[in-house]
Amino acid sequence: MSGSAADPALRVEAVTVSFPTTRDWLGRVRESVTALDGVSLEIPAAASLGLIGESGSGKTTLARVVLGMQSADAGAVYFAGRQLRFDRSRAARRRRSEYCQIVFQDPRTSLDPRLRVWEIMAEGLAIRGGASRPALRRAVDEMAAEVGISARALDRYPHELSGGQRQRVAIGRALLLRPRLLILDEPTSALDVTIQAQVLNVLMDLQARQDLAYLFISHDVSVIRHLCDRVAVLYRGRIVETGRTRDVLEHPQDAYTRKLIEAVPRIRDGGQA
Amino acid sequence: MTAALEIEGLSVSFPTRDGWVPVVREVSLCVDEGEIAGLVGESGSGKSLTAMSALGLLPAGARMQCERLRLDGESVDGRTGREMEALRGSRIALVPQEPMNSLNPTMRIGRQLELVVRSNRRVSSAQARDIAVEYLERMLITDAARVMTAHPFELSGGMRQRVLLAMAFSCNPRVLIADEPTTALDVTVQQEVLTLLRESAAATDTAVLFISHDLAVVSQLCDTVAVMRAGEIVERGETSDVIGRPMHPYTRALLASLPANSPPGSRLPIGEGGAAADSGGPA
Repeated sequence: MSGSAADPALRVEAVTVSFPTTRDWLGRVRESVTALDGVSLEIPAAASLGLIGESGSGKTTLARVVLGMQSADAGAVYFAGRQLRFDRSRAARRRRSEYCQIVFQDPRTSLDPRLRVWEIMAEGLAIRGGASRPALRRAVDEMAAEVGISARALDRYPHELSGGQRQRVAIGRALLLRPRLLILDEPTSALDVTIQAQVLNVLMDLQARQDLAYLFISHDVSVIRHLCDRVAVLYRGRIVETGRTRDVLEHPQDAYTRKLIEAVPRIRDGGQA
Repeated sequence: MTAALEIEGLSVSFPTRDGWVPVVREVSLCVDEGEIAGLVGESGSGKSLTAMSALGLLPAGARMQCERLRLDGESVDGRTGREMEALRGSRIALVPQEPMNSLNPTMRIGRQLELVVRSNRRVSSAQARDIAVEYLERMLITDAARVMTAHPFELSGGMRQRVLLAMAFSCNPRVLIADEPTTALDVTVQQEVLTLLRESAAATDTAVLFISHDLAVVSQLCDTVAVMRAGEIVERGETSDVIGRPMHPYTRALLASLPANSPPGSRLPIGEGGAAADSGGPA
């Protein structure tokens, strides 16, 4: 991979995406809705950026653009200083997969129910090719230890695991491809708080051990505060505020950010009530 | 204050190959008129089943045992399905988690509200529609006329949840069961819906049993709270006591696992609660 250490893990430059809503009889677009409007952001190497926004703000569209699953009308995406082209060629897809992986919100729907856990985790490596079955199994065993999946669980099917275990599988599967950027799309929203704590600990441990940047998409401000150095607030397709997490959450400058943060329910205990 | 909902010694079990497995064990709850009582717990703790027992809406096959189940001072224990049906709406109502799954997707909102109103009051269709509009407006829906003619898919999640609140309150229930009513909503919308729920319940002296996994929401909204784990209530009391000075290790573990209660970037404490709860995924 080219690019020096100083290059940010991810740079998104003025990305605009719109989706057609109405076409005329010739199929020409007459009306469209702008999902992302000139979005720019940057994640330094091995850092975490939190992306907050409500439903419909464009969070997922942005993740899809970074993954190359959605082409942009304008703008560019750079991985470690190298531009990502929006083409579907095998080489381009492969380069992206080497660099960037994703963990989805609901591991019940993102893991293949017909494969055993270890096969799910090995699938990416197998597609990449060049590894024998025993070598794949060894790589999976090592990764399982790293993300906290027991050896016994590897020979089971996803439905036999708990929600927290399944999300560890999803994280392990993504990391086996040794990406330098991991997109986490609401990875703990479907989990109970005690399980969420375990998964967040795993994510923090992994980042401490290796050169890994996170784009952490969440509507949960407290999770972002815990994990991310910087945060960007997305509202109707635009970044309305970005900065150090503490600054943004404690002294929001933008009116929408302020409204969003004020609406977050906080624990009210006897002392303060 | 009189108890609007009294549950004593409630147990629910399900049949399996290895016999009856209890999922709710000896649960007792009491909600007074005008009180908002929180019932918190993780997935699989039995909080929803407890609420569904009070509504008489347990899944087929479930076996329920109860020493006492009283609604508005009247015993409803041992009533048949048809007898419970008559009580639902007028005495006890439900606001569910996902409004899209509880509204009929093929029927306009106005018609659905009209049916609910007329199942509880002897009024004409036109009168029922007037009542429906009135309740929509109470839920701060300014364009009630448009909402009446809309299908559920045309409304936002927050709007759908307001329609369900209007539907529930239009029957003047004495007890309202709110089962994670804002979990599917954005935080700004959640705040609006919770305010509506609190104000409507206060205005009509309705007892609310508020089921949630969100301790922050419960600490803001509820007068009292009961914490459920593995089918049992492990701790209960005034909300400020339970949240401010939790006595049970499980309640402490729940509170400690919240990222907001730890310094940013620190490892989150993993209590014994987590290990036990990790046996099952979220419902």
